[in-house]
Amino acid sequence: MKKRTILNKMQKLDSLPLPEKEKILAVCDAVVPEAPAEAKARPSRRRFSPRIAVTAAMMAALLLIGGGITVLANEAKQYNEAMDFFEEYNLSAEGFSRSEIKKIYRDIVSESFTYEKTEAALASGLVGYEIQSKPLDSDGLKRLWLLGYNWKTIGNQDGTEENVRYYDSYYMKYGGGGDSVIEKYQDDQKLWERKIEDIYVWETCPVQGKVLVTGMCLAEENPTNDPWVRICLLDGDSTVLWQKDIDSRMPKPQVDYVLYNRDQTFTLFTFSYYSDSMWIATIDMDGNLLSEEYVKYDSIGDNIKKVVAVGDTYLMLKGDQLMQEKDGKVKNTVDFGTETEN
Amino acid sequence: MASIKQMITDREGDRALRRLAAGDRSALGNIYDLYSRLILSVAYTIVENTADAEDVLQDTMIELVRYATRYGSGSSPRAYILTITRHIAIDTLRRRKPQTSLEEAGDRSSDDGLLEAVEVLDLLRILSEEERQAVTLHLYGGLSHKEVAKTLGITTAAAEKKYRRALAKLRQQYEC
Repeated sequence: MKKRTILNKMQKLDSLPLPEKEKILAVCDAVVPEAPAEAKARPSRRRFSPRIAVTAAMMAALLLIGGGITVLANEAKQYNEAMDFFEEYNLSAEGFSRSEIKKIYRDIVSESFTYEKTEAALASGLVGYEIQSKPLDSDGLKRLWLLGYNWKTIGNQDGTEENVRYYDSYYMKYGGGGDSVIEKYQDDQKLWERKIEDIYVWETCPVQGKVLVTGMCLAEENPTNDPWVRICLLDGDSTVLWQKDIDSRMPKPQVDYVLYNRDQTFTLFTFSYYSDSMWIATIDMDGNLLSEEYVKYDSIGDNIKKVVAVGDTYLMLKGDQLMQEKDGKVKNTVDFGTETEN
Repeated sequence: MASIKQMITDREGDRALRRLAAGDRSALGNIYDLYSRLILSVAYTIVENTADAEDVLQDTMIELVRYATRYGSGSSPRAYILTITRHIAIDTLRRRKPQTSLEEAGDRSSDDGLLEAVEVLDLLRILSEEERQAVTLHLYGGLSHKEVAKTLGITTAAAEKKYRRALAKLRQQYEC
């Protein structure tokens, strides 16, 4: 089980219901009432004695030594924090001094990106850096960092089954249409195969031991003659749990990517060569459509290799292009600061 | 290891704790907004039932107010708060009467949020108490190994070792 999987499971703690804030704060106020402002004490007029002078000198010396130790302890703490950060984000610290490592760390966490060595550190581990077509300024580095770091932290679907692969084959039927056969492999061993009728498979999405299969039905008896998106969920032993059709209202839709979300829903990214839109639809584990939207999208070119949700937007890796769904459009984000619209 | 979101939360948390120390009681509301979820969850993994976890949350907030001036600016607000939480939670465990029921997956099955949280307890049950806290504080709570060590009262090396051993146990248990 990957560390990420353990963390995902532990984040179920977030579903614990919180007590009412006002009640908690009210009890705090009742138990620890606010203290009234205290009157200032008059300074005493004691005479200064030699014994006090010696004690004061000793205390000053101790403070100086203690202060030095505190400074060293703080430096070590900052350095360790910086190294933890480098390790967390797969940045290489090689070739940097202690001081430089701390400066890079502060430069990134403060989101300044003005320190001259920061880019060299990010180049070692920042996803998307390698495909930049021109040098990045501070703003470009910052935007790439804020967008790109999620690739590593979110990962690839839910990862509950390692080394599992699904393959699909399509068999045309005499008279039109065809069936698909889904095969499941783990560690190169075939576990099962299952025929699903009247579906041309576009994408599969394995989660929690099951697999969501998406495709379209090419059968001529389809009433609109424009195939709907056909989806079905197969259990771990290949049982078809359910099969449904959803109308994307797009001609000949192709599901390019299926994203499994933390709330156990799926988001389908579907395009059509006959349309300049992408249909982004979210369904639940029972195949019910929860939400949908259409965004402007240029379907020409590579397929989408990966999608991650970042806040209320999506990042997509289309071939080698890093793109972002924003304001109803999918935009090319390769060159930060000079966004190229599709 | 802190994510950017955690760092931003902790910047705000540091400001709120300093305001509280300066006598601004309204800062407590900010602290609740920033950390109540974390306090409740960490407490829950120790006391294993929601009623006690809520009491720990309440007592942590009271402690933060009562001893507000103890917070040293520049410290980690997260580590400071979770150290208090842990101490109160362990005290709660010690004072608990033997017949207090712990939540099991079968209880309140209509409460999906609770059901999911109980699953986490089931996950962590194979760990020792310190291993459980090392994993919870570092992986879920976002504390560094050094901060975890300080919270648990052990060396950093020991904290790291407990954490790695805990991960290895969980991997071994759930890869069968």
